[in-house]
Amino acid sequence: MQEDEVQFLGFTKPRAVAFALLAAFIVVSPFVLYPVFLMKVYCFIIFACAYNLLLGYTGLMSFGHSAFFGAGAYLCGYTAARLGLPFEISVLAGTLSAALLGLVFGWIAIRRSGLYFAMITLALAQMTYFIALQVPFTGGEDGIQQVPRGSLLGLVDLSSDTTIYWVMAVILLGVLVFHNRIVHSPFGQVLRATRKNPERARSLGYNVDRFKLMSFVLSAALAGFAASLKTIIFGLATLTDISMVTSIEVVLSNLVGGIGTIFGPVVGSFVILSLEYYLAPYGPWVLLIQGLVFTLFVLLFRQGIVGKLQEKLRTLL
Amino acid sequence: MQGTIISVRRMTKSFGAFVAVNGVDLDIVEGEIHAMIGPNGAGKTTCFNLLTGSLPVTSGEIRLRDTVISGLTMDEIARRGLVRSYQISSIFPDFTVLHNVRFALQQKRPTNFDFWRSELSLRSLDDRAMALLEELNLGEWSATRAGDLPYGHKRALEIATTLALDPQVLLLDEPTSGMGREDIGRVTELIRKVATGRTVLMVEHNLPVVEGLCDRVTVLARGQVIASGTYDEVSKNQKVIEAYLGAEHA
Ligand SMILES: Nc1ncnc2c1ncn2[C@@H]1O[C@H](COP(=O)(O)OP(=O)(O)OP(=O)(O)O)[C@@H](O)[C@H]1O
Ligand SMILES: [Mg+2]
Repeated sequence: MQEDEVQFLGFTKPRAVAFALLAAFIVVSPFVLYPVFLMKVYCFIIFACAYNLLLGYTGLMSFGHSAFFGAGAYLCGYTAARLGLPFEISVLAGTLSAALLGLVFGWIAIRRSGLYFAMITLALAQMTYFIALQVPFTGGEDGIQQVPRGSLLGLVDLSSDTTIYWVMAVILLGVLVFHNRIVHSPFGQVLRATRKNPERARSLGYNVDRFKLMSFVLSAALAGFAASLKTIIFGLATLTDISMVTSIEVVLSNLVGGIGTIFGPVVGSFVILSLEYYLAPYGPWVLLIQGLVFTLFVLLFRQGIVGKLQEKLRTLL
Repeated sequence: MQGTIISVRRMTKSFGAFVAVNGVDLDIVEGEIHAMIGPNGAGKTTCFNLLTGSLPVTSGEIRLRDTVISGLTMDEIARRGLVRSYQISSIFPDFTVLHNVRFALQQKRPTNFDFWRSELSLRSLDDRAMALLEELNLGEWSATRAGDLPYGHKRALEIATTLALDPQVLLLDEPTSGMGREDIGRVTELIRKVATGRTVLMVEHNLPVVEGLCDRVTVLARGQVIASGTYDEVSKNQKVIEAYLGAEHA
């Protein structure tokens, strides 16, 4: 059993190595790559982890995660820019509002499974998009702009990219530890069992729907957290955050990275956002190339990049 | 004579126009081993599904002691002490054998929503899980992936996970099906052992097992109870003989 192995921060040995490599990358990369791009990826990794919790470990496919991302972005942006509240409160507002929306969505969608579940989340997300377009506080097409970064605990001024990069780096590593912890908690055990054999879990006295709902809310909250950080870093909450594209990107990053693996969301987010970033000069060709790369990845590594790597490691060891 | 622990009145289940269980009355006495027998398709598994809340009843009432449990959800009924095993083994194939039993034990924790706690906190359940495995002669398999177990052992594992909940009433759906003679002997002994202090309702096709093990027998055919009583009484019943002969010569 995995848990009998030596652990570091709750990671098994191979994962601890992966974690250390990532930490090293995070430290070195801003000297080589554009830090603002890196921070965009880090936020997206957190978002992808949130999604992985649901798809990978609970077995629920949502097409509506843009709603939580959008809600988090707008509420955090509004709290910071319009109410003038500090960084921590704004991020908390974004996170909690996404969690609350998750509770509502989850409560409705959990009654169905599979494709029907996915379609309900999609429909609800489309409704949320429409609402975001109509209500005045989101700023319509302009969105909420010039969201101030503020400071961390009133002590560390976050306006410099370098400072906020290191804050973001610590948060990302913290989230990865947290994500791993959720998966390997007593709660995570129930999720995993439920995903494989819900009928048996029920017959052993587990209220399966409650556990699914809890997972859904956690996932939504973490998505809102990711969006809040993004809003603070870029000073912007827009309709893109709450649009279908955001949902699609998070699904893709999970598929490419590896569903139900701890580091899949990390790798997947890097691949998806790098394609977008480095192909940007080619304009509309991005979509075509992205589509090709995606198809190729899914054909070559059905379990995603990390899934494939794990399989290789297992046969080697 | 102790009291009735489960009483079923006019329990009916229709699938569209087809009535799979038709007005079944059933009384299970506390502490007994009660067999439910009947030809294939008689509705035995459906009865189990109704008793455990896996399927809603179309009409009728099920009581556990004084409480009406028909209408409760499956997990609620399980938490009230009515736990089943399945005709087709229902385990968690990716978990180890030990882990399967531990997962059942985990259910009794005050909460399982503790996503912030390490799963190492579940280790305190390992001793109890191991003891259950030993009881079912599965001790040496504890670290095996459950999906890789031989067939007979999977059945035993499922009984172990069912027992882990320490149920008042144990419902076993064909615990010996597909087993060799040796395994059957072992499982029979086992059921006898675990039945002390519990009530057991089991579906069983193997009549010698029923005869040797069960206090009372209810015979089901085409969704209806056609006889009930001791094995001797039931086996002399004309309707029962016809139902079995009819089924076997069909
Ligand atoms: N979910 C369902 N939908 C429709 N028909 C069903 C359903 N479940 C069971 N049936 C039908 O109800 C009848 C009784 O099935 P059941 O599984 O209860 O029989 P059984 O007595 O357990 O038989 P066996 O000895 O083969 O296990 C069968 O004709 C079966 O096809
Ligand atoms: Mg059956």
